[in-house]
Amino acid sequence: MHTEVVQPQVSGDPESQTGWRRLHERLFREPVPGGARWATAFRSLLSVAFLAQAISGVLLAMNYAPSTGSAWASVRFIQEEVQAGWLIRAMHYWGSSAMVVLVLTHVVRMFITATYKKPRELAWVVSILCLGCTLALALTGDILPWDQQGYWATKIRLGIVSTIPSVGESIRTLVQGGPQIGNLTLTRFFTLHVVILPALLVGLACAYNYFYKVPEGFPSERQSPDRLATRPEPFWPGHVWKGAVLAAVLLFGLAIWSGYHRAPLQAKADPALSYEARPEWFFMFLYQLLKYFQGPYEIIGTFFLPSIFGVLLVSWPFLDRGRQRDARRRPLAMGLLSAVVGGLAGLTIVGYATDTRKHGPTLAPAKLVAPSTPRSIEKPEVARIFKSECASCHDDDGTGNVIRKATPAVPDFTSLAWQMAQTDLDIVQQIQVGKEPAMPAYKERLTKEQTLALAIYIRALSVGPVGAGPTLAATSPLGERDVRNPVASAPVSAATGPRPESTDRAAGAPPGATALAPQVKSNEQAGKSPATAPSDPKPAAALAHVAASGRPELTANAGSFVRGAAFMESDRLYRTYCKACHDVDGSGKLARRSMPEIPDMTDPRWSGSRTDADLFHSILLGKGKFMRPMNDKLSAPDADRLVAFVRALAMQPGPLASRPVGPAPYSLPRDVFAVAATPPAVGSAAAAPTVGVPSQPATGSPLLALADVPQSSRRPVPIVGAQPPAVSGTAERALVAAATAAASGTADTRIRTAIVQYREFCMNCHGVDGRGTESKAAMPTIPDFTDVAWQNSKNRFELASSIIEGKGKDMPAFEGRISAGEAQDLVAYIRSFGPRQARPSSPVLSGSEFQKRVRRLEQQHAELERQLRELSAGPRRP
Amino acid sequence: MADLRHHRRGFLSFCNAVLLSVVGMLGAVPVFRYVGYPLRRRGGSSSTEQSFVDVAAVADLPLDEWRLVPLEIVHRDGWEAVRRQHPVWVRKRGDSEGEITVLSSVCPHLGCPVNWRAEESKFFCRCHAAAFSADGQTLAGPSPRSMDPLSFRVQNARLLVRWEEFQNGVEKRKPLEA
Repeated sequence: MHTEVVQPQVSGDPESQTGWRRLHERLFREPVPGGARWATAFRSLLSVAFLAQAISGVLLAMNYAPSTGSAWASVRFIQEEVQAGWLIRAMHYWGSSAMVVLVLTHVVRMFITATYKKPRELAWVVSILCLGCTLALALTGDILPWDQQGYWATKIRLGIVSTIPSVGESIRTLVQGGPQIGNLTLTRFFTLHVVILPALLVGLACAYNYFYKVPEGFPSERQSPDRLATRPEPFWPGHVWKGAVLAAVLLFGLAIWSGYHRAPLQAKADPALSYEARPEWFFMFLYQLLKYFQGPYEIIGTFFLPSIFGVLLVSWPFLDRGRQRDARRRPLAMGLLSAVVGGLAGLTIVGYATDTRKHGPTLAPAKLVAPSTPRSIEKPEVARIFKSECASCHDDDGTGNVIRKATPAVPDFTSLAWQMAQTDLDIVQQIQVGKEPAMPAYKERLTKEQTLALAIYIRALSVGPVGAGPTLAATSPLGERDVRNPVASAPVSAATGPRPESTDRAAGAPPGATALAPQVKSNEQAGKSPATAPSDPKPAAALAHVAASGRPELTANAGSFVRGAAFMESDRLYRTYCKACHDVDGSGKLARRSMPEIPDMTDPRWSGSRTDADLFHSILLGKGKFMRPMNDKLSAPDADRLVAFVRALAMQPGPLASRPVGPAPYSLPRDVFAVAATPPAVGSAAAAPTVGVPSQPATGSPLLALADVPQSSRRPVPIVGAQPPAVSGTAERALVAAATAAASGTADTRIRTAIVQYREFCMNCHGVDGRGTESKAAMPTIPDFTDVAWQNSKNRFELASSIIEGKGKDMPAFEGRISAGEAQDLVAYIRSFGPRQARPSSPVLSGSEFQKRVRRLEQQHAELERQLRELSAGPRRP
Repeated sequence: MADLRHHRRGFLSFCNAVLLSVVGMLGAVPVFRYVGYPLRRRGGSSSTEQSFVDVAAVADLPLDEWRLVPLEIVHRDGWEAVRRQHPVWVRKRGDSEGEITVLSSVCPHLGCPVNWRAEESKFFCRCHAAAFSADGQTLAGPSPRSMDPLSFRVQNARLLVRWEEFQNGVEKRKPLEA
């Protein structure tokens, strides 16, 4: 048989290809029975609200990362960094409440109008499932920001779930993805919230429409079949118009509300930090209900009653089979409805009214993070953290006086000297990893933001009120104000390049250092001049030595290198940190009168009675009444070198000063106490090619004797050396050079150098505190650096030239040993002795200034972390 | 003829049903295994989850005073090991082991943190107002049992505590499998 296929005629009309007209007819022209009514349009509002949630949800998902490490940060990023992120998030947040309200209204309306009755029972069942789905969406979305509220609320909810008899615990484990709330909880809730539940809700909505429309021409609500038949109206445009008006009202209302009420984002979830969680408003009734069922009966309130209620709701159309649809003629149904609504509303109201959180002091403030400001961390919060975490040891004002008696190593945050010895990142590091012996590590207890902000806060503790210093500060063009206010200068440093500390920390000892270590060690043990080796490999070698000596606890300490000390030779270390008490030769005889316990380190018997470990311990942790712990100044390798040095003292009795110090390159300018004028243009002492007289001891008194130069000349006596007269200019020119020199060094290096130089060159006469009290008898004209009148009477040019060129009978010229740039920094340090005005109880830092510094430190920290990652990633790659 | 066709269609429908249900059921096996992974995970706990953790020096604890001490444990959390702090309540009445009490700070009710109220000298959970005596016994509120004691020991004058979580909301103390 043969069939002929008849091709239908194809016109040029695109309709035949796209069928759009038919589609349009079907979608928009379909007659709505009974015509366009506001009540019918209300149902479409639900779709609009869902669509808005879907769109805002997709947008949020673009910037969200569900894991415990990143969820909170990414939501904060959305909230505070992404353009309009706060609005999208607020609309999604409040939109979920709007969804709940709309679905509830819809269900109540269905009940009142008896739409659930035959033949639309299934439409009612689906509506109830929709309500459940909407609530589940709200609940699963709650934990996603991983803030305190979401975390604790979810924890309680899952706790309630786990009390369901026999299966509860398994359900909880399944939902939270393990025994604790964690990463898998987030990924599972994320999947539920973003994929499964929305898909389910769409499916339910389709099912609702299907079940609603299946009984064709069946009276809806209060309209009779006749009326429905007489007033059909196409969906477009009348019906759509009413829906669009309602949608516009909803969306604009939501947007305006969101504009004024941001979605809350509290502190990052912290299982160790107590929090008082409360449920959302639509579950407040359950919270209140829980209070009436205690002990073993609790399960009734948490599980049985809600379950029974749910089952009743779903099966209601099958229970109420009366044909009456008029609400006025259904007293039983209406009575039940008002009882349920009244009961739920009553429980909710009582729940809010009797909530203890409103009255009692909250443990963790609900607004830990102020969402209305662009930054997540605020100064008052940092102050709170400082008070709760730090003040018990460091005092509210940061002086540390409470525990100083028991723990002398506690730093005084208000001391400028301490402040100058740390970079901001050093402080961050110490907060994070702690510091032996007493400072605990806060890495897990504080977020990075909190730590960074805390570092800035600690900085600010030493900052006096603005304008408190001498008027001079205003006129100085370079550096001075910065050092007076170390916070401003220090942060510049770390961002400029990889720091040696971080290198050491990341890679352990540099390769090759281990091989060097024994050699260096034997050098020192043999009592050879420790100054002969080039200075660079020394710290590394010492570090490696410590690592090799099997004292892992010390290598950890080596991370907190004090750079000033790390690059010093052993003898210089000794002079700087020990000589003041132990004397130049280690005999300690000068100090013995006031400190009878001081040992004679040149005595072989003393040396023999102590192990290296003893000495090491005493150096770092202090000993007896007078020996101060040096662990805030010296690292373990430094201490090791000092031990070797001290050992050498006993082996080679005799004054240290008499030992020949070879013309090692590093020591040239320093050990020459009066050299040819260094060309100021060079700026740095180390760069001066000087042939010195190296055999003089660098102690205070011979210097003073030799520097007895007439004041009128104001020039050091050139002893040896080529003198470039053309450039050896006045102090003013030296200061100009200083500007260039200063620009090259980072601020924290300069500060540390200044501190070390002060200890080396100035402390002998001017004293630790700059008052010069001990030298007053011998040198009556010695100034008191803490005297405000003296500070005000000198400008920094005068001070710098006094340092470089000497002053009066007793102050030697330090030209050649201290460069012009270093002198500048030293002046700044000397300025820091000046009296500060009484400090206010909380640091003076404006909010914006505080934020700016936190942000800057954040950048530095990120940079440092990046470098660390690169360093640690490099060599480990196979 | 029509009868045969009818039979053929019936047989095909039956085959469809069988084939699709077999495919569906086979497909469901890995799906359920995948989703149910948390239920079956075992032996995944890291070393510190089961062992005693050093929390403080006994000498540092104040005498006869409840002190919240953080206990740090490495938990396995999905794809990563995380260090997590669990605060525990510790009170020392003397230096010997028998005079120390260690209580979990997790409320036996629904898992909120329990706080010490020194002014009323009782423990209190602010989530659902559960109150416990200074010894951790239930005084008021919804908690079905008293606060959970944790096992500990004193070694070299240091206090070591083993962290444990118990099923919440039930009267009988039952440890959760970590």
